[in-house]
Amino acid sequence: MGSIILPVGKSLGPTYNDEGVLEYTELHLGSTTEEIGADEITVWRLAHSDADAHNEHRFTLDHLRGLAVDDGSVSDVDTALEKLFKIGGLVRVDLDLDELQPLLGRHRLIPTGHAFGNTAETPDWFGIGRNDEVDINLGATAYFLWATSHRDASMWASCAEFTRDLPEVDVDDIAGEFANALPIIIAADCGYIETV
Amino acid sequence: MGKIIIPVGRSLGPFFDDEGELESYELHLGHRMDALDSPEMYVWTCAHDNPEAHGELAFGRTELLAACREAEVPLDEGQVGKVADLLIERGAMLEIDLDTDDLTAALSAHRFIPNGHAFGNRPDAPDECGVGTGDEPDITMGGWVYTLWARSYLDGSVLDACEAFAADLPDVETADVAREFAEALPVIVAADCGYLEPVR
Repeated sequence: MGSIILPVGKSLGPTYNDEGVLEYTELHLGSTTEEIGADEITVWRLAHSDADAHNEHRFTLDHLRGLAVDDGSVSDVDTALEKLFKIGGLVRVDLDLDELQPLLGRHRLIPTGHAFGNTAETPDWFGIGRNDEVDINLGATAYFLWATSHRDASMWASCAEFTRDLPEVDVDDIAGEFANALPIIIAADCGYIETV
Repeated sequence: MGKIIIPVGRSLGPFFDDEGELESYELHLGHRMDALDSPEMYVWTCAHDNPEAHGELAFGRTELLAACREAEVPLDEGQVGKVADLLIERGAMLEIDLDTDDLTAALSAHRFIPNGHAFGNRPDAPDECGVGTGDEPDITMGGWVYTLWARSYLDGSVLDACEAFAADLPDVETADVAREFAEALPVIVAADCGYLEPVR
């Protein structure tokens, strides 16, 4: 399947100075806040687009690069990508091959949007969404971690805590379930990850 | 000023068991989950209504009752009051007078989690920053509040965040920062742009 791209952080929007001139866009990355330019914020936003590609774990670097080139407004796509990787505004992970501890141990998930619980017809699925309707459905484990893991030191810590009272459950399995849901959670604007 | 009501926690929606029976409504309250019954969920939800009153720091018991009536909640006045008492006792709502020591106690016991989008400021209003749940700002706030809205949870409690924030600014007291953030909190919560949860 190959490595996919996940955007990190939350945009705090443009900052205009007292003369009304745009100075930069602020990107909250958890442990730091970065001031980034127009190219970078456009690429970072594009990294949240194409929810289908995120959902199917095919949002690769080439996919993002293609979106940025097609967008037409980014003057130097590769430089913008390089800067975003350098500041931690983008991360790359192979969900099938990579150890998940480095990614999940370095990041925390902050949930946004609404939680809709399950339904009488599909009690195993729990809905979350940006507005008044369910945008995506998660299994109970991912739903619980989505809602509560921001309180822990990292997503990995949440997965370890989750398995603490369940000796028969492997932390790697829980981590896999959580990590597999992250791309669509982020693309559906139902949460963001930040560096711890 | 009188006591105002601010709901606490994040609803995780209804929980149906394997037989398709509604068991409860789950409310995430930081360190724990609380299972609310339908009347409790109605009242908790209505405590988020009427952002105008929340914005004017005027959402008290009377406004809660009016919101429940408006939403046609099937509870009479006495029942709404009892449910409200219960929710406050269980930490699912705060009832505080911002002019008293209640404020410091509440801010040190709760963390704030932001929700929604941050829109920054605008060239024609550089002193105001917008946040909202859709594609445009629902509410605007000054720079201090905006920064705390975005980042305060990283410092622990709201009060911890206000202390850290004031420490970086000469001539600014924690109490001033705390007051400004606290006055913005009711409308932020009512506008669905964040929620409070118990720290412990």
